[in-house]
Parts: sequence; C-alpha cells; structure tokens
Amino acid sequence: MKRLTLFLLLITTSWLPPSLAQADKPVAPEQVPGVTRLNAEQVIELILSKPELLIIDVRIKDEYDKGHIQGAINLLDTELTADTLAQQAGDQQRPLLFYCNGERCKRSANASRKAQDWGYPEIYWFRGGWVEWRRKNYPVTH
Amino acid sequence: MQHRLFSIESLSTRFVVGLVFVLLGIIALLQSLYAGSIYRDHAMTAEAKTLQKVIAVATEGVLEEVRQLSQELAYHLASKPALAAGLPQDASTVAESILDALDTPFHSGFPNNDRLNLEKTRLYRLDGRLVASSRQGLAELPKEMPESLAEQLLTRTGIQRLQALSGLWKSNQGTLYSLIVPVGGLRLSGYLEVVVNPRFNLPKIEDLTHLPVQVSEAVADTNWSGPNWRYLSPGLIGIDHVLIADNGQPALTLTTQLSVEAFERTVLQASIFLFLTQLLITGLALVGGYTLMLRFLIRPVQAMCDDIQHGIDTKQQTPVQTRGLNEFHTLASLFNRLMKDIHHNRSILETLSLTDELTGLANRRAFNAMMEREWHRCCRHGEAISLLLIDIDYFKKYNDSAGHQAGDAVLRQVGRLLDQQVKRSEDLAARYGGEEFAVVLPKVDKDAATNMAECIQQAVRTARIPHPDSDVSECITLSIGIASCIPNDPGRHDCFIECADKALYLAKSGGRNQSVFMQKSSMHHCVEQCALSQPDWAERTRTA
Repeated sequence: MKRLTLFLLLITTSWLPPSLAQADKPVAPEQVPGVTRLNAEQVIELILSKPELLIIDVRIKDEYDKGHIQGAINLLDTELTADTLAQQAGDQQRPLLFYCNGERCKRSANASRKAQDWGYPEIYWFRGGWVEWRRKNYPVTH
Repeated sequence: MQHRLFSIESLSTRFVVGLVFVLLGIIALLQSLYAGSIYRDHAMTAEAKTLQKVIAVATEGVLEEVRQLSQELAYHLASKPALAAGLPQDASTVAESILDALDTPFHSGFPNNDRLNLEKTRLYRLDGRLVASSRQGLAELPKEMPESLAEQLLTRTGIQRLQALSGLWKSNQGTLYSLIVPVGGLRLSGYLEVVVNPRFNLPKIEDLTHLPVQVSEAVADTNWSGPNWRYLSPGLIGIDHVLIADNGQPALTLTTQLSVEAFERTVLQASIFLFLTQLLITGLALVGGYTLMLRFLIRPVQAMCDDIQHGIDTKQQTPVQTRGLNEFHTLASLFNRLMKDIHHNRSILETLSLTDELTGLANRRAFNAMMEREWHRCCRHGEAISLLLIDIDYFKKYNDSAGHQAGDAVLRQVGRLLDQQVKRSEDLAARYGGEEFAVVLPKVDKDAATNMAECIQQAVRTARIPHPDSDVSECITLSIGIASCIPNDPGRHDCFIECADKALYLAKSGGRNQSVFMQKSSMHHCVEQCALSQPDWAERTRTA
C-alpha cells in the first residue's frame, strides 16, 4: 500500500516541476505589430492557398531534424540576418511564416520583428508553434 | 374445547422480557458480524479501486508513449520520397518503391525500434481502400482499415482530415494498436497506417507500479465498468483493468496481483474492534435495560401480586404499596381505592345481614353466630354462660287492636330498652323473631342472669307502655326464660337455647309478666339431653 501511495504521489508531483519551470520561462507577446498572428488551422489554409509562402522554423537544428512542418526551412533566429533571409526568400515581396516552439518561445516573435524591420511586407506568425502543431496531430516532416 | 399448544398466559413477564433482550442481543451480534463483513468487502473494493486507478494512470502513460513512438515512425515513413510525393489516385498497380518504403522499417530499423513492436505498415486511399501493405510483418491481417478508425477517418472533413488518428482494435491476430497519418503532407493524398503490438509495451506498467501485471485478451462480456477484483488464493487478490478498444469493446485485460495479507489483518483487527465495541455497548445497554425493566416493571408487578395475595390469604384490608413507574402507582392507587370500596360495602352488607331492620338490634343470624361462638369459647375456658329469651305478653292482641304500626313502635321501644340494659360489650341483645328477643350473657352465672332479667323487667315496667288489651297489666310486660350453665360440650348450644325456650314457655304458661329460671326437676330431660353441667338449678322465680 505504501508503494502505491508513493507511486500516486510521484504521478501527481511529476507535473509540478515542469509547471514550476514554465513559470520562469519567457512568454511570447500576444501580438507583434504589423505581423499577422495565426493558429494551426490558419497556417494550413495559408500554406495551401499561397504556394510561394516561405515557412521558417527558427528553432535549433536538433529540434528541426526531429520533425517540422512540411516545407519549412531551418533558420535559427540568432543566425537570422537580412542577408540570410534575402538569400532564402529570394524575393522581398515573398510572404513569410515564422514559428518556433510555442507560447513559451520568443524566437519567432523576434524573427518576425526583424523581418518587418527589413521591409518584408507580408509576415505571418504562428504563435502556438510546434507545441500546438503536435498537440493537434497535424502532419510533420522529418 | 380447543387445546392450544402454547398459551401466552403461561409465560411470565420476566421470562418474556428476558427472552426479548436475549433476542435483541443475538440480533445485535449478527448485525455486528454482518457489518464487519460489509466493511471488509467495502475496504477491499476501495483498495482495488485505488489500485485500478494506479494501473489506469500507468497504462495511459504507456499507451501515450506507444502513440508518440508510432507517430514518430509513421511521419518518418511518410517523409520517405516515395510516399511524401503523394499517392497516385488512379494507378491500378502499386509502385515497387512504395512497397519498399513500407518494408523499410522491418529490415532497416527505425528510430527507437527497440521500444516498439511493429507488426505492419499499410497504405490507404482517401476513401479508405487498402492500396498496399508491407510484405513483412503479420501476414493475415484483414484487408481493410480497422472499423472504428475508418469510421472516424471517413467522417472527417476539411483540415481535420490531416490530423493523425490512433486507437486499440481487435484483430484476428489479437489486440493491436494502429496509428494513421496523412500521406502527401498537407496536400493529402492517402493515409499511412502503422500497426504495432501494444502487448510489447504494456509490461512496462510493472516497472512503473512495481506490481506484477499480466496482460491477456479480454473476453467480450468482461465487466469493465467498475473495480473488478477476486481472490486468487488466500491473502492474494487479482484486480482487473480492462482496456477498451476504439469500438467500445473490451480489448485487453490487465490483471494485477496484490498481496492483501497485511491489509486483511488490519481489516480483521478493525472488524474485531468494531465487534467487541458493539458487543460491549449492546451488552451494557441490554443489561442496563433489563435491570431498569426489572426494577421498574417486573418487580413492582410481582410485589403488587404478593401484596394482593397476602391480603387474600389474611383476609385483611392490606393496601398495595405503590411503587415502580407512574402507571403502576396509578394502578396500585386505583386497586387500593377499589378494595377500600369493596371492604366498605362488605362491611355495610355484613352489618345489614346481622342487624334487625326494625329494632336495630342484632338479628337471628347474628344471635346464632354469637351464641355458637360464645358457647365454644366458654367450653374452652370453663366459664358460665347465660341466655335470656324474652317475649312481649299478649303482643298479638296489641297488634290487633292498635295496629301493626303501633306494634312495630312497641318492638322498637322494647328493643331500645333492652339495648340500654345490655351494657357490657361482650353481651348481645337480639331480636329472636316476631315479638321475641334474646340476650346472650357470656361469663354470667345464674344469679347475674336473674338480676339482668329483673332489670329488664323493671325497665319495661318503668317505661309504662300502654297495653289496654293485656290480661296481666295495663302496660306492656315481658315473659323471660332464663338458662345458665357452664358448657362442656361444644356441639350442644342448641340444647341450651331449647332450655331457655322451655323456661320461657313456663313463664308464659305460668301467667306471664315473670322471669323463670329453669328448674332442675322440670328440665331434667333437657339437662340430660343437653349434658348441661349446672350443679344446682334455681327455683322458679316469679317477679311481680
């Protein structure tokens, strides 16, 4: 019985450390001015309606390799410069979609701001990111 | 007459009350034992329920891991160039490259292939028809998508169709776990199914719970709605947790064994404690109740019965002592009042039955009783007893001339005079019948009796009650017969009365208005007959 109680306690408390840890993590802003915020379904519709859309995964490479949205390229936000972006986009008018891990990740919000500063006119931001995508069981590519 | 086997009257209150209390005690004990049994079952069920929840949580964790690994594998496969390009919807044959892609994980492995038991990979068109399946893995799976998953998949629309689906299902090869992902990425062109055997992963529950878990196929009628436990052996219970397939049917049964020896010992101790506590409380309550009943109900009734019995035995008016509860006080009080009334009425009746209504003197019955009693007493003590029989002279003439009302008045007046003359408490003046009176004089010899007769005669003469029709005087006169003796035969008081009567006869025949003491010679036969032991009989005395 003591064994069972301990196990139950472990099961219950196993949720606590991540929750506590999350409390210290940064939170992405609700909105980035001039950038269109999307959810997973809107992202899919956007991908299907705009074949020219450039999807940029700003997470680290290991995370990208474990799975990403189909057609996304990996460009870490810290390595994102006007040149690298221009090199990938090719066209300044090309629509861009940024995503990272999710609400607790600020990389995609920062990247969106940078792209906006560099004059890209059509920028989309998937705030829910990878966490929302996986939670909703949408297709991933390795 | 109908004979009854059992009569309630034959039972005493003490017995019935005692029996009721014993029955209550037995019922309380049985209830206590039953409660202990119920407590044990409930405790065991609660224990099983807790354990079942633990197993359920652990199982959920294991299946979530299976889902994640399967999804990882499925998307890994779907990313293969042969599949990522999408399925040609109109091709009648399947490209070899697609079959190779489906077989890849079986011969080349896949990430975490040590954590997943892959059974089959299959490819479906958008309408759910099977396009191809891996050449390796289970050979005899049905040729269609699992029913419950197909139902969900084909009813979805729009973006929902891109979401991965998974679930347990019952196949002809046992329970399997399938995960279905879209093929062709966001441009959906078909579905890829990864079939794994969950029984490969489920033993991990043992590592999580540190309890032995046995996995078996669930039978269709398994009761999976609540805690399902049973004894496997003494002190060991088996708890079933049933995994439900996507179609709602039982799929796998996880049986956990749990040693409950210590638990049962605790429950047994608690049951014994409860039993003893209840036994003590019930016992005290019953003993206390019986004592109170004994003191305030049974004993008062018994005491009242004893009091009444004593009153009956002693023929005395002994009041019943009030005791016990209020009702018994009332009952005793009412009984005492009733008995008092009865005694009072009996006393009145006795007085009436022994008193002459006209004169107020004792009547013939009282005279007879007194005569017999005093005769016996004088026999015992060797004391003298005297008797005066008195007759009013020519009373019939008085009645005829003055009327019966006047006659009655004379009787009353004579009676009053007699009563006045008889002063001792042990003497008795009685109306003997008609105009005859009797005076019983215990412990009185012939001289005193003669004096008493003289006093009576004198009192009547002094009263001067007019009697115009009397032949001996102008007033009422009396004839008195006197008898006196020391009796020695208790049974012959009637002879003594006869002697007095004979003396009265002599007084009347001798001219009335006189007292006659029986002479020995004239009453010889009477004396002999009555065995009266009076040594010297007085001479006939005449009083003017």
